Amino acid sequence: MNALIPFLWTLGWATVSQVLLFRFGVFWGGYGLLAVHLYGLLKMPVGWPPTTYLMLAAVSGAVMDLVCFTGGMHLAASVTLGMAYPALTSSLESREGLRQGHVMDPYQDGWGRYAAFVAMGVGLYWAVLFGLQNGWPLMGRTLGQTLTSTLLNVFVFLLIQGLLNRPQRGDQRNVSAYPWS
Amino acid sequence: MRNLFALLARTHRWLLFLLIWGIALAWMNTTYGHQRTAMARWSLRATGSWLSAAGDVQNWSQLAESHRLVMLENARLRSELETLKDRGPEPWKARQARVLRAPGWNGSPWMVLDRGGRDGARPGTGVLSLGFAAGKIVDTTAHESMVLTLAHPEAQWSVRLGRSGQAGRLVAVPGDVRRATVIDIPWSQLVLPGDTVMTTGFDGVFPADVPVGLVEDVQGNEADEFQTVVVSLGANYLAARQAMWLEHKRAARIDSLSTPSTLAP
Repeated sequence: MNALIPFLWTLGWATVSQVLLFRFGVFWGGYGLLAVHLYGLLKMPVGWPPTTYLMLAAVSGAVMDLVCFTGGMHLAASVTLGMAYPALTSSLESREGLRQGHVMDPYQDGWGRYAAFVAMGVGLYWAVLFGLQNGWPLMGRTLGQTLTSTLLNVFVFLLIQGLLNRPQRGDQRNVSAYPWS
Repeated sequence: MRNLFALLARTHRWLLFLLIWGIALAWMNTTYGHQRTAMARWSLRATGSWLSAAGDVQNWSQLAESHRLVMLENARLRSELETLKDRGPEPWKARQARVLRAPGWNGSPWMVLDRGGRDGARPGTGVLSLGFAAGKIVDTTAHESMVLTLAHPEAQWSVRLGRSGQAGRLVAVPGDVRRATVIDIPWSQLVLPGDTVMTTGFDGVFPADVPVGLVEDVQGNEADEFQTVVVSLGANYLAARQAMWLEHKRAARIDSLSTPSTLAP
């Protein structure tokens, strides 16, 4: 429960800012789109039941579809991300492993590892969304949009992390769960 | 039932994932014209593919019947073709029959058809198989006919090489129903493998220019005056299931002229 409240807080402000502000950020003729609500979604802690990831992502996508009138595209993309979320986190875990309740964070996991994590999650999301939007005949456009939008969002997420999520002095989050490390 | 519940519990995440995806697609289908069109197109394609596959299976189950009907149609068309070849006042008439016995089995050179005297078949009538000369009727019952084929070792047939080549005699190769030889062809006649061998019409059995087969090989010593031409017979006796016989009113008149009583001095 302790991990749920910060997650919901992050997901809430990210979704509100996406709906109110960032969804109008369309760059390079539609090849660069922002999905800041994924910043909140990618803060789901490690160790939850996989079905919980699936349902939370589905609710987030459905809310985006309802308020943005996108008719199920965000729902499909979000639920795919929620399904793949356990695999994403486990594929990028460090040598020491991931403790229960761990949230992917560049200050703990490293900037490169976090950027790769964001790129995979956001890339999967955009691939599904643009794939549904463009269809099979525009596969090239889908790949291009996925690549550029993923790079843009990775940059934005890293910026948000650097500006808003800096660790405070005396923060104990760097303490490992394992006493010997 | 317990196993079913266990299976559902084990796969519930995937089932939930597919369910939500289905909801998302249905949502898109009601929202976007493009996606609705794409889904309708995909549905039509899938339905068409399934119906095509089912149709193929059904056709396969009816293949034997279709094959039989096609053979009957081919025989009928060949009959019409032979009729159309001669538009004179008294054209050759072709009638179809089914092959009951074919040469090649048990070493027999004879063919038996399922049409006999009551169907109009009479001795001396030429028989075609697969559009090629096959033999002539030598005996009939009420409903069957015995055909002396080109593969019979004691029969000889008048043929020529091409439409304007030298005429010669076609004799069977004993024991081989697929080949025959043409003899009495002088070396001055250029013969090449692949040339068509045709009837001359001199024997009164077939009209002229009915194909007999293709030249397969040329044999003989150039010291001789004549060459022997090996012919691959076009009437594929082992594969033929339908045949047709040709009749011409003039043939009966010529036969009556050729009877010994008429020729008696």
